Amino acid sequence: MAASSSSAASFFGVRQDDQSHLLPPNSSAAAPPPPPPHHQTPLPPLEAPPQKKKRNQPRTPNSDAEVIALSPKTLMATNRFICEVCNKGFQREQNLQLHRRGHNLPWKLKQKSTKEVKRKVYLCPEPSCVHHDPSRALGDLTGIKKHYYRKHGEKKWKCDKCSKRYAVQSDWKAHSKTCGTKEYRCDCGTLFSRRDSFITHRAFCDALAQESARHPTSLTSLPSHHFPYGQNTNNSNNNTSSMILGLSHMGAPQNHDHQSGDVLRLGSGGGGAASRSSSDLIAANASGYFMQEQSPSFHDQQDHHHHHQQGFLAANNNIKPSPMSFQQNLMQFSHDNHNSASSNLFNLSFLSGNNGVTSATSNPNAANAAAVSSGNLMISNHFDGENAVGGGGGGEGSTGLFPNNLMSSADRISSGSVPSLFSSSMQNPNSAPHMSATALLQKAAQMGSTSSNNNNGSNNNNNNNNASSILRSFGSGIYGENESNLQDLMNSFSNPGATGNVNGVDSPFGSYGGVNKGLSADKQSMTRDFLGVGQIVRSMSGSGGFQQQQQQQQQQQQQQHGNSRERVGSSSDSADRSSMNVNTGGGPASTSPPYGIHHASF
Amino acid sequence: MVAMFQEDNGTSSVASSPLQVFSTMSLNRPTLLASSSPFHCLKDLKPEERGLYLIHLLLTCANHVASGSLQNANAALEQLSHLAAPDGDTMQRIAAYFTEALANRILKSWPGLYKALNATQIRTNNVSEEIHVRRLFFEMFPILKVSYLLTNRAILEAMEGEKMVHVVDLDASEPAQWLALIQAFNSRPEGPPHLRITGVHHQKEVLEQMAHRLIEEAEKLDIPFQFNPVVGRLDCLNVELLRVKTGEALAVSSVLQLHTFLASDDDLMRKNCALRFQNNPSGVDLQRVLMMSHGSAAEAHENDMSNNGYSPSGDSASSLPLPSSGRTDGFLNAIWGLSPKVMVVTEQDSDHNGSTLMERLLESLYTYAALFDCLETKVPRTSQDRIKVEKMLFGEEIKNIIACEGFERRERHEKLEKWSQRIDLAGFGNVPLSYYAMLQARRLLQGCGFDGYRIKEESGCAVICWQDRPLYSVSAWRCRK
Repeated sequence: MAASSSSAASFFGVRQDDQSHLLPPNSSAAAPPPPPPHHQTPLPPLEAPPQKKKRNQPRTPNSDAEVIALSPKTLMATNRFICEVCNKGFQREQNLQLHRRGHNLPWKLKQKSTKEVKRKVYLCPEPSCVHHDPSRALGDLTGIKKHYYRKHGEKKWKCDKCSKRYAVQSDWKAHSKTCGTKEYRCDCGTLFSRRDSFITHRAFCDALAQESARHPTSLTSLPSHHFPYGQNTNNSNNNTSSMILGLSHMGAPQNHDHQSGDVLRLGSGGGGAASRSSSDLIAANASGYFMQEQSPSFHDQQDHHHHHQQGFLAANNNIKPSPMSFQQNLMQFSHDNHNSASSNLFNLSFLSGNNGVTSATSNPNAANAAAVSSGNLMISNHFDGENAVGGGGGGEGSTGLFPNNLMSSADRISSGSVPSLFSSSMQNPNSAPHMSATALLQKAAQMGSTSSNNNNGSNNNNNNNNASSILRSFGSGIYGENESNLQDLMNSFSNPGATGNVNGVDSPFGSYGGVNKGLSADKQSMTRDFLGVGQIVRSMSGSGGFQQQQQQQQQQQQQQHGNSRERVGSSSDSADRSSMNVNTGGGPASTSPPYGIHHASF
Repeated sequence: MVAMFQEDNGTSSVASSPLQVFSTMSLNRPTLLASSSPFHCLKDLKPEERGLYLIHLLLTCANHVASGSLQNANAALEQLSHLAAPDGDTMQRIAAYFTEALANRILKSWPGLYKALNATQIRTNNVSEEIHVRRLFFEMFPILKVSYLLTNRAILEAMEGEKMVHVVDLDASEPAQWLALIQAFNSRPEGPPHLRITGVHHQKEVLEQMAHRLIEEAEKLDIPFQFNPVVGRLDCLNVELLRVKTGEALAVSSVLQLHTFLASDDDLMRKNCALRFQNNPSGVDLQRVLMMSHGSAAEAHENDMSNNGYSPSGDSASSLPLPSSGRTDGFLNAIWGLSPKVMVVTEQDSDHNGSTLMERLLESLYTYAALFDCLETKVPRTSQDRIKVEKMLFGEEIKNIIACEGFERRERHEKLEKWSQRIDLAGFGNVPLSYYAMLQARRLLQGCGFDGYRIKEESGCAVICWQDRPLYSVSAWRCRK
């Protein structure tokens, strides 16, 4: 090493010798010490991409290689060999000699010496450059020249098209040939002129880029964007916006993940199979439509959406004196749900729905995954109702219950929360509330499973309870006691809080105000603690399977009935009772078949 | 009637399905139903009620079709056609195709009628239309994209360091996958291999188009590349044609193809089904049922003479976990014989290969409900493209699942679990998909507006779900020594 550095030092002296030529001042004496004299492949021209790998590898110069240091001036000099006749300059002396031959001047071409020519390596004069060190000397003159231009010289050549500048003319020429012809555009919008940088980029932008690689330069039939449908849904206000997509944006944007995660967890927490939760969401969206349709001032809600959790909690406080017991009450329904207050919104809806179903069948075992899920389905249809009533309970009853004010009151009190949850799904102009086919199937299956539970003992005697009878009852509202199961279910969907209890009368089909009947004062007082729950449960019960209109009517009717607190008490009573049903009816399906309990009659 | 369906429940493996019960519980009063629900009332149904009613009608109708009672089926079909609509809401759309399929099925029990009605049907093998629909499926769903992505990742990982790579595509309909692979190979650290892709497809045009695109790309990237088109049906594929050479590393990609090999394995089973019908007191219809099964059984037999792999007893198919399937095994064995370094299989992850109509109907209802729901969330109802995909892709599949039997029934989708067993038995070992592959796939779903889809990992394989309903599975395999 000492040798090499000393030799380097001596080269620096040489550097000052401007006009000096290729001749090394000190020549081979400078050759650094021992290294294995392995083959020295001539280094390729600098910056030639394919050979990049070899370029900068530290190497141990051959002991017999001459290390040559040239001054910057020498390196930059073009056509140093000038013809004294015509002043034409040449880069190489050999060429000048050949040229002189044309002038009939004496010329002399160097003969190839028989003895082996000593290899020469060249140093970069720039002290800070890695190639300033003899151990990294470059292997040919052109290479060192180009290196010096590129790395330490001025970039004089500019591409007109892309304004990229080059120090070496040939680089510029090569670039000009391809500039604009090869472009790599990542889906993220970044443009690349070089493939390798594009690929590097893709490594980070991989999923998208994978896709873009998939349609590289026009797969002919494809339009310019790769995901026309996806884009549509994401951006547009048009009707492609979907319920499901909306779901994923359910929560306020900033909580998006957390929120939907909660929803999912809740959905499965109540004993429903995880697989059912999605349908809850789907149905929940349906309620989004309701809101959209009837609330012209809905957009206001969006301002509040980020408050929704707090908002809801606040509403809870307004509504009910004892949040703790409220929680406990919930716990009775489902021990799986130990969610924090922030997810109460979902807890409530979920559990009360669960409650409805279980009370209808009066059989927790029957509330299997399917049953639970359909409970959810129905509930989610009632978010709007919940909202409105929540407003009422908060002391805004008079305005809150009027359909036209539904949203505004909710806005004021509890819940920008609920509607905003679904805000993104509301742009679908399909006027009808829509349940996805999957949700419908699950609901149908749920009906089937309930009925099969009921039929376990009784075989086919009860087979009035078929879907068709449900259908009929949709229109007519006529039930027989024997037309039990499915109607029970339908009832319970629509009246989760009220079915199967004292208030058997409340068929949503027949009587909107039915829930209010059968109240008694002591029950009110008894359940006062659960006002919040009752509110929600009851309001859910109001709209099951029905169009908003009906619910509105119901609410109007309630309004006429008078003081909302009273109703709240009654409905929470039913909620309470159904919870007791759950607790007591913990036995097998046979203990209390739904038709035994349900006294709905018209 | 009651007795009949009880028996059906007893023997059917899906008796526990709640939906099944949903149908049976309504079976007692089909006539009541028909009389008490005049059509004008049906029109007033709200979407949700209508949806439930449609499901109910479909199940009722299927029961009648299964029992061969034309009259009752006809009544149900009439109502169905009033409510179903290929351009309505999701349930209406689904119902429209299932209705058509059920009608087709019952019509097939009158072979004369069926053939006469289809006598003048123009047998256009409209290639471009077929490609177009496939293309639409590719665009509207993330499924093929995810499948391609995972397949390519698996191939890339298996081919690390290989200098000669041969990829066999058993369904060479989409060049995008291989364009991506070529690019990925090109950018791998050790440089691109000599790449040969063999595409199997029954249409020459498709292969030509594909060859053109791939060669163009390979030339652009200056990768040594060769495309080897094999025109023909996969069913009668001779592995010799794949021209697998010694010394090259082989990868096999099968996207939604393997299930077709299950076709025709169930001749005997169907006979048994027909025998079961004999026990039913459905009298007059019995003959037609038998005629039907004889007719198609004979047809199927011709095609299937050489394959004696099916189980001796048809009923075993539903009781054993894995019905023997001679052609599938044969094919898998043939592939095994080529000792691929990796074989990536994408299949529908549904159980549409039940032996009875009801099983298949129930399962396919769920699957296609999910698929139609996917479309509902992405594409406006009025979109012609959506209708095309629904009709020409899903509608045809539904028709095949519901209306066809024997060799004709090619859409025999089965669950990953069964495929795993089969492929395992054929001598392959599972290659778990890499973390990176799964990550990429998930990001593809996230980043491209495919909300609602999920990827589940199931013992090293990927299952693409819509919400929580599994729809497709991707699994990678290597030859076990």
